[in-house]
Amino acid sequence: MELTYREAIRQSMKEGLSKNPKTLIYGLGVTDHTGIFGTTLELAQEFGNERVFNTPIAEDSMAGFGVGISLGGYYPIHIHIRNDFLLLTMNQLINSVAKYKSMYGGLFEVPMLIRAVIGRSWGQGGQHSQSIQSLLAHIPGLTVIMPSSAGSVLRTYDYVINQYRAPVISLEHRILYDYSFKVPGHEADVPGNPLDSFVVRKGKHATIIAVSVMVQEAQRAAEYVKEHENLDVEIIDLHSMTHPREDLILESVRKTGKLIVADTSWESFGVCSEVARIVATRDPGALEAPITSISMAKTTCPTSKALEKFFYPNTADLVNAIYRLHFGKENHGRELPSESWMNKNYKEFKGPF
Amino acid sequence: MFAELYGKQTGVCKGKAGSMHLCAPQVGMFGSSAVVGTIIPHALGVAYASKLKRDGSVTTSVSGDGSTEEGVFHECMNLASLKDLPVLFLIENNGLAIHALLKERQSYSLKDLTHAFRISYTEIENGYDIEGVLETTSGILEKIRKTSRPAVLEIQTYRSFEHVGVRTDFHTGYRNSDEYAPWKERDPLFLKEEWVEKFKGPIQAEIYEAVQFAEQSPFPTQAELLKDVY
Repeated sequence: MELTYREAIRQSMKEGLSKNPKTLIYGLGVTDHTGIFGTTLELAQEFGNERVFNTPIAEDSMAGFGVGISLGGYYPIHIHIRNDFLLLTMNQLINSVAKYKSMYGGLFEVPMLIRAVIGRSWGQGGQHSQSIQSLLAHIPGLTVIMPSSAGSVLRTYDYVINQYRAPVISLEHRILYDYSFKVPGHEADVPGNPLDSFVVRKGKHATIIAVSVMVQEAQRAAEYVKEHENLDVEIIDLHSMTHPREDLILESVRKTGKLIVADTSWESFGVCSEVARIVATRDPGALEAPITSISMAKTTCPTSKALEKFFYPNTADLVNAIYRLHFGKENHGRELPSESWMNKNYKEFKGPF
Repeated sequence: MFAELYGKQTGVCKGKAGSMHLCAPQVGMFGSSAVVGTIIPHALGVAYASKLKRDGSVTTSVSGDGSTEEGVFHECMNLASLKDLPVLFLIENNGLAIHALLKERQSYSLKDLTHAFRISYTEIENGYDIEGVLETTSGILEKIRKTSRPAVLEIQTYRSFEHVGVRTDFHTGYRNSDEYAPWKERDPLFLKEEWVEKFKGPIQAEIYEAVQFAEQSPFPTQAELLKDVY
């Protein structure tokens, strides 16, 4: 079966409401004609506006409202059309949501799902393009996931909504919304905990640990180097920032000795830092070369398209990293993917919303 | 409660909450927050859930005068009014935010602000009048139950001790000890001799027992540290 990322989310939202009569969905724009890029369309009409509703522009209080909803025995799904707006909810998320179970000695639980979108391209600019997983993943008590495929969405959202008793923040990349995926995908290859990291592509020449849309980029890079240099790159979808499979990461690095971390955000104090910490503290000897970090340029995202293309890493950056590691030198002399090759494969967001 | 203040394993939150995060789920008191105003939206969520359940309950958010300065308070007044939430915003006004006086902090009157959100406002000028407070509050709760409209109840009161601790701080100069005199005169612990005579003994016994329990209880062990975290 083929399903787009958007369709998978909408299906998960609908099932979340139909399977569980205690589920509520709310956020800015949830009930309008665009329905959060199509993921909440018609749900208010079907399940009623007591359960699916719009909110005032008041993220702080709505985040706290979610705590109360959860305490009252209901399951809130709070949606933000940009994860940048989560910054307005940080007091509730960090000082309350994350701590509600542990601070009160286990007396309460506040299961909930917060969905937030990572914007990119067509001039998103500095406040509509951030990817704040590392800010949230740093806090004990929060579970942060970044589903990278339709299958991942279906499997993880079903688990989180119906079984998992902890608060979860899911960052969904806007670029993935239009992608079509074979369902089930690689996430189903490994049974067990739907929060676990999993292998997307087996290989031996290098390991790429990737998150979100970078899993797609990593796959494109892997296909390119296979075709051009017959290299087999192993790709692991980190999937859960807070509950990764450390043993899976180490097993792969021990096998390849060469590690690239491909993140959707900045390099310092981010996903790369965390993966590097895991490897450095548990088995630094497994590395044959320094770790490569693939991340956004260390600046605020510019709105101009001309600058934006230098801000984000692309497939050529990943291929370059693989070649540098494999051939052991910066000037490896191999041809990198061209602009036209990359544009052919890259489904760019046509904007503006 | 005392065991919790002592940080003991037998405390209501296994010693992990302490004085700033007390709760009492058995009487419907959810977790309290040290960050001012953080619990106010929680009350709205609980109220919304109770509306869906049609259980007729009222949810009360208790916070101080300083909490009305926080943005989240304004957001909550808006939401409660918009969604007809059965919430009582109970504001205890002791005129202080640690050592900052009310006039240094607020440009508005809470009454006018409440009315801006089309919410009803009631003031109790003598927060030390136990019977008066009970009667007025009961009446407001009943009205909220009937109408499912939120309400604000501001209770004027006084903080005779320091922000945290067991002493008075009049000697520090930021406030005048003269203002305490009229409150002291209304303090039921001094006024209501017949109540004190009747209840002092049993209350002291209850406190004594709770303190004994706390003192004799064990501290939590290291194994407790990583429990209750996902």
